[in-house]
Amino acid sequence: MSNYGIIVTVRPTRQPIDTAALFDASYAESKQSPVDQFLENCLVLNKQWSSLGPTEDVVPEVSRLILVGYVSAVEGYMRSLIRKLIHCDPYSQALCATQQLSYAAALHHEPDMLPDALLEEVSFSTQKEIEKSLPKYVGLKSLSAGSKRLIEEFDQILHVRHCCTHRFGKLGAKNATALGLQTHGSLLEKPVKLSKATLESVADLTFSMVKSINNDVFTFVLHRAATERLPDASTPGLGWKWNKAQDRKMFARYYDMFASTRDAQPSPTSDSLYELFRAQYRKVGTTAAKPAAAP
Amino acid sequence: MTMQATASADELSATLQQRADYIPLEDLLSETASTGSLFSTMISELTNRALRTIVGPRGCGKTHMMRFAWLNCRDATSKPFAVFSSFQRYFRLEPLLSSNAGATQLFHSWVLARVLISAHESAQAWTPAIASADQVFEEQGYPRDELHALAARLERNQPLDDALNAFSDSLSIDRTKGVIDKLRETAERKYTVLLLDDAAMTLTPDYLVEFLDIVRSLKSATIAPKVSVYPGTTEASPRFHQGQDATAIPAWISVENDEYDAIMGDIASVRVKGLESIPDEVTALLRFAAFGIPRAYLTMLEDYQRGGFKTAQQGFNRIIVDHLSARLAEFRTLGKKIPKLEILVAAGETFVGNVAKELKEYNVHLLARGEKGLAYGIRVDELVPLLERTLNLLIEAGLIYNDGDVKHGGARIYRKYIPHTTLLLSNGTFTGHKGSLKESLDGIRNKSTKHPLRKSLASVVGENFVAGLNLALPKCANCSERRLTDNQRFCHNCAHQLVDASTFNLCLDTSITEVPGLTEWQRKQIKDNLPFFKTIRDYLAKQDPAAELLTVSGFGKSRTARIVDVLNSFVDDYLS
Repeated sequence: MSNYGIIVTVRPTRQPIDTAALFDASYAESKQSPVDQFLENCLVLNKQWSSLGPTEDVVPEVSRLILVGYVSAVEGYMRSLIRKLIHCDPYSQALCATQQLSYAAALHHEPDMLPDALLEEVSFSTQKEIEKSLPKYVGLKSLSAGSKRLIEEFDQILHVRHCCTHRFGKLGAKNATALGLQTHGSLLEKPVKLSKATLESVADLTFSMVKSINNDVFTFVLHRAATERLPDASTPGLGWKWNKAQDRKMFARYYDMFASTRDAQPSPTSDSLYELFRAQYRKVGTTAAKPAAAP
Repeated sequence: MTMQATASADELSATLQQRADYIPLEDLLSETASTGSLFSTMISELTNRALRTIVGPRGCGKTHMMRFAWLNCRDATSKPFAVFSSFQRYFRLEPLLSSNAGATQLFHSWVLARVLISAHESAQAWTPAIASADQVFEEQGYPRDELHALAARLERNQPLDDALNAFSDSLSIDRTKGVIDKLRETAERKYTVLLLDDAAMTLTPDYLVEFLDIVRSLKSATIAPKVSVYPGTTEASPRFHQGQDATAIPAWISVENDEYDAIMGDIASVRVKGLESIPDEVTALLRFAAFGIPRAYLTMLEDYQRGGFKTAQQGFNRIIVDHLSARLAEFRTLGKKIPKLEILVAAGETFVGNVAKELKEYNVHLLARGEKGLAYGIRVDELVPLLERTLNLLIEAGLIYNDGDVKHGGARIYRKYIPHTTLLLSNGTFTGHKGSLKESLDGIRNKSTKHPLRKSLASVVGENFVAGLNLALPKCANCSERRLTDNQRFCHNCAHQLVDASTFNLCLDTSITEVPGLTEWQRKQIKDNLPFFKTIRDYLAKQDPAAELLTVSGFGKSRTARIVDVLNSFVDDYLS
């Protein structure tokens, strides 16, 4: 060897990676609701640890990737929910009308893909970003106390995820500060160890959080669809007839966006929820209307 | 028609008065028997400055004692200010546990709202009434109407609007204490006792833990909470330690207590009209059969007065058999309300039945020497957790009495359990063969033998009894695989999140026509005329069920009121 700089061996790669071939072009956007997509994605992750025996555990390196997976699933849920709402809910559409798109998006996207372009710049990787996106694109000003508490808890997980994604699991100074230096200061540059039990807690948190947000947004969106005036409308609401047959299609549009068939306990039927919805809002806009209740 | 309606209304009010909640406050003083040291201890414990738990099974008089203590405080200026609050409706918040991530916070607010509502009621019913009460509540930002609205919405499982949500978040323990202290200062009392009734929350352990935390935080130098619970209740909380946080005051009197006959006798003499017309031997035996539960004694006396039998013997037998099967039926509903406990409930029934059989044998030679033996002793070191849990369930339902420990030389300690006395009376323990009332009476009047029956558990209930005790862990709703552990959160088979189905919702599917206490005709009328009135769920969903009932022909005001009362008391009992 005549070159002091060659300290390790290097072999030329045989084939360049064709990223275009990496994506599944035959994939069609699934008809599943965002929450079902989320459940489907997470079930695969759960299976990596849920059936392990009492003495077995996940390899730490893999468990970090699983954690990244859960966070990614949450992000996927938020994105898909907001996109669907902008597509289907006139109120969310009206709200987004004034927002700006990149020139590239305007040029290359099909018109019905434009809502997706709107979310291009958004990430959902901090508590703040999750909380900001709902008022901005959907108009939901504040989530229920229960969801808020879960998102706060989830924020801690997001910091751990940051370490897993960017530092192969070691705790960085910024994340340690966010998690509390008092308790985490001495753990700097120590690797995170995620046992099966921790993954179970993380999964539990993400499941409950996503389902709780799902309920909050569904409650809000329906409340608005029954009580608020659209910009060019003269009466409040979307024009419900309060007749099951006549309202079925419009109600199903909302129901399908939020309902779960994949959950261990699937959503109640569209008809049964419609009846509860009708019972609460049928008097809106009539003289017998009470001051708007709920969400 | 009117006559008939009035008569049944009277009958109803008499029936309902066995539940202390239904005795009008003003009648309570004259309808309370203050015999015995148990009673005076209880009242002084309920009015002192310390945190106390009042422990006893359903119907043993906890509510009565608390309401009596409240009156006592109101009428004696040397006593503390008192607030009486019932948490009987906690189970209505159970569906939140499977639908709302903030269930415990909402429960927290509900508890504080209930305490504040009761504090307001106390202030108004105080002598002299605290005129500034409304102002005190307004100043703290807790107007009465908002409190009622919040509690009502939560109990009906309706969503809260933004304003109520904000109000719910604003309820804090410190400000609640502030309100109570303000009222107490105005009433010129030194401290407050918070009488918190129906706080066992058996069906929702999650809420119980939260509740006991609230209780501990409410305790201060000027506020003394008193909590009525079932035996074994507080063991469910990892953060509430009997002895350290609170002293338990037993409210259940043993049939072996020297004052037993006097106390029970006096309760009947102030509460039951025409007692003298019942033969003495019958009252004495019914007293014994009541097993320390005043409500049971009163009901049985009334059943006897209603008649419908040929001889006293026949009447007595029928009453105790009915009473026993009602107790067992109530015990079995625990298995339905908490599916997890199904196996333990079934085992408990076997246990108590077999113990009664063994005691019958045991008493054969005791009777011959003029003694009786009511207790079965289990070696304390044999009481494994699941066995203890089973026994506690029996105690909670009032089917066995824990009569304390006895030492038998060295380290052998036995815990004495007395099975429900109707079991012993109905299997002829005290007569050898099915004898007369007189014979039974002589039997129970024998003095109790010194030792409990000591026979190995295996020979009483079988070798595999303890090994067979298990929690019936619920199945996964997706793949029907049973859980492996109690705290498992995901199915080990299909990886789905495990969410328990709401048992409250299952209970609501009970048909209205199955409710005991309605007449055949009433059932038929409801069924024929109110097709949308099928289940307890339909009933609770109505803002004003009485209005609907009034539309049925033949349902006048008093009959409707009666039906509503029957349904309400069934719902309150069943859903708690």
